[in-house]
Amino acid sequence: MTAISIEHVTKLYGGRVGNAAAALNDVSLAVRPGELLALLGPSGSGKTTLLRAIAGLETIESGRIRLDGEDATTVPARERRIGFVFQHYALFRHMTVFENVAFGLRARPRALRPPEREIAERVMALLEMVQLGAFAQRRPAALSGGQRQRVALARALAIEPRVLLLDEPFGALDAKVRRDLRRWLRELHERLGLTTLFVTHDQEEALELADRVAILNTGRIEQIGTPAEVYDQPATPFVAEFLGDAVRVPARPGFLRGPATEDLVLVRPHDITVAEASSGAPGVPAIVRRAVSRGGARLLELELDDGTRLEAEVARDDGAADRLAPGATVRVQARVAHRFGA
Amino acid sequence: MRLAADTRPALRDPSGIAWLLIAAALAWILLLLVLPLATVLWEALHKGLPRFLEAVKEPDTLASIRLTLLVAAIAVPVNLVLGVAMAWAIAKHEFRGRAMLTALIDLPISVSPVVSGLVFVLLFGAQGWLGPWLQERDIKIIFALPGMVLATIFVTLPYVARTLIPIMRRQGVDEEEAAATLGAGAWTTLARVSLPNAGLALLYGVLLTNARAMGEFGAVSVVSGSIRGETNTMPLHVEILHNEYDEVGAFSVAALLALLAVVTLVLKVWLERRMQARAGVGG
Amino acid sequence: MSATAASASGWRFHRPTAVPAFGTAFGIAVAGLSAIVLIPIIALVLKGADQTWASFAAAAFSPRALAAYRLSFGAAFLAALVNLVMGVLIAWVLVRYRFPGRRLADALIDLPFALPTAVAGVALATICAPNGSVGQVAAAFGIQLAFTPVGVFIALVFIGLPFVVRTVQPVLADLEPEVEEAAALLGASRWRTVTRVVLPAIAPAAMTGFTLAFARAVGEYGSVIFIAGNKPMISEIAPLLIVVQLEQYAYGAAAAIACVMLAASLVLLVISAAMQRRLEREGADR
Repeated sequence: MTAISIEHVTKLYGGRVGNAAAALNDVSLAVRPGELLALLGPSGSGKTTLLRAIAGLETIESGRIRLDGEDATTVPARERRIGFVFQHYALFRHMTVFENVAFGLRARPRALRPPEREIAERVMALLEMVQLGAFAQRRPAALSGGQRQRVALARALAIEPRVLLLDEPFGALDAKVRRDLRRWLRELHERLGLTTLFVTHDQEEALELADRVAILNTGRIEQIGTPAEVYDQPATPFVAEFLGDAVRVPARPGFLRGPATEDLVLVRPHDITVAEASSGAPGVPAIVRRAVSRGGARLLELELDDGTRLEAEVARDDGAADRLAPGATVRVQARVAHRFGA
Repeated sequence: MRLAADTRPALRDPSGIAWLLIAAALAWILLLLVLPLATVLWEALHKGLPRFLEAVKEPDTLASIRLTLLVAAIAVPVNLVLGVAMAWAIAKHEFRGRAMLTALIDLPISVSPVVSGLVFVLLFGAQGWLGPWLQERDIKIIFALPGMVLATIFVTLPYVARTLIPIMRRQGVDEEEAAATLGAGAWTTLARVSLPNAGLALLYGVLLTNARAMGEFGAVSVVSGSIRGETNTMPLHVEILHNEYDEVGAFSVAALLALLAVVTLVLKVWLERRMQARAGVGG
Repeated sequence: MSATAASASGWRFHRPTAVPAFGTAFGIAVAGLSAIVLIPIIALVLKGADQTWASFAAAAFSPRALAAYRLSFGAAFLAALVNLVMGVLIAWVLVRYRFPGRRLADALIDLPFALPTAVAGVALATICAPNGSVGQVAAAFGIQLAFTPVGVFIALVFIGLPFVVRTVQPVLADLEPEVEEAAALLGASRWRTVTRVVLPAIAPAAMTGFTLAFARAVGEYGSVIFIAGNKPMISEIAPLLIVVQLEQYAYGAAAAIACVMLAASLVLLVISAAMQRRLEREGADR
């Protein structure tokens, strides 16, 4: 049983046959009940389009979208019962916070509409949950970005959605608020157990918050897996380069462990061992060209004996600054390398 | 509000020139706008308030006031519905031919009012395409209320849509999409989300439609036949009284219409302030 | 709702969206526009075409009609020209200076929009009559205003005033002050900055306003007929000639002249729509 199942979904942009760039290209994805899944990718990768397609805000040209096993491909957005938090919140600006959250309940057909007293109770409970009980009578314009975000969340939860979709939930917030809200959202997810998808372009955010991460690129899913899986075992060069730093290195015996082929090889700077030339360590000789300290790490720009340049990141211990100063000769080797077929 | 030139010396004009320009602008406004308005009020009132009231209470004048209100009471709601529908389709949706539909809405503004009236005469008049058919059934459109209402709707058709479209487009469809994910249907979305958001612009559009509907002269003059006490609206009555050299009478009716214009302008300024205040705190 | 996963070619007519009720709104809009605007205008064109070319030309291009066009288009052009100059001046003054009465002056600009044309007509006729407040002054110099082509021109200046002011005002207000500062830093005099930097920036808006004022003035009727005197060949405007034909039950002739006026309106509509679209795009870029 899957909460959301996306089967071979394709959507064209531009709308004209022939020159249309595919916004989504044969995308398939199964979201498990209760999980927190991140859709990660650069802008234009189709992640927001996929999220909007699930909500019924975009139509798709082919494929199927199932919610709790039912085919929802042609179900209009207003009948899907999906909680959606828009990137810029899309709060109703002429309504109070309370009215915003109550909107979905009041919009129900008369037979299904809870009595006004019950609506009030539920709205206030939600506002308490997002810590905005005192702001019920304010208008969205009088709130900060983080507060608006939480109103949007409360509004989406008010309709008791089967899944929660968030489009760049932290995109418009400053760094401090972002971190707080991230932790708070994770806790909320654990408390509610609601299947949640969120879109982000920030790999750190995806890796830190999500149970699983789906990485999108030009309308395709490149890889899907737990944060550890996608970081440690990237399936494609794109994933390796998008998740953290990765440098392309020549496939040289000695530098890589194991056999060297002519394939594309990517190495993360922190997976490169840098040892003094005199140490007799394995690897190939190199010269340090530039060295800077960044936080707890030391970044080195190295030039191999064949002229290739690459970047390495080593722990900043006491002697490092002297031993690995510009001009020093060293031996380098990649501890871990990601190899891809040509 | 502060002027850029207050804090930016490079933008300051020589003060002599500034005052010269201000004087020229004010003189122009006084001569071209204030003087006609003042003339209307003066001519209506200079023989005393009783004469003015007497002129207004004239049965034919009262009939013209009633008819003007009636025409506006039909034309304004019709154009409200049409204007909202046109704005909704054009501002919130994308479809082929949208640019053409937008241009078509503007057509009544650029067509001469006389032509606007004539088209209905040629369609419904005795010599018109449907004239014989209507005559057989004893339906009177031209030289009667329906023709005047039609001509008025034609002339005032663009105003609601034209005021709504820019603001509705600027607001985008985010809130409508949010309403859809929350389960709202078409009517709820329109009545609770889109129209309240465009509320002041909508009010302004209605105001403008009303002012033009009550004041329309050319188009209505062509279709009405100007039958005293029957198909005579206020602007037409001004003409009749003017032609009869009843200057106090003509200007008394004109003064009422001028009052309508002034009220419209005052409300417009008020609405604009409200809109600015709202845009100021909105984000 | 039009959520189809069927067509592989994307949208053909209406782009699918979660915003509801396109069909209803579009249907009402098209039905309303057809019934109120399109069909009546087609009736006019058919009536104009429902005669021989000779009789069409005899009505539409008679010396009297040609004189009327010359007056309508000529006076409208001159009036729009005056409004172009005064409109830019007034917009500049309202946006750039603060002085007592500015808000009132700003509010008054829209008077010609709101004031019924017949009221403007009787007022201007009274003012410009030989015994009127302005007419007396002009008469002292031996100039007659009312009941001459000059009267037509005056009325058209009145009704066209708001167009240039209202299109230029927002553009002028949005103009970045840095641009003028840059010009000053580059050594330009204030005069040079205004004429070479500011005026070119507002020129598209001013021309749009000019076109709108011209289009409106060409067809204007109510405010003109009271002041014009309406002498055939001299001070008779084209819309009035249509009314005159109509009063003589010469429907074909009226339709012929109206077709010429309609064609002119359509051309002006296309031009002004294109100009307004360009202006909006530039506004969006700013």
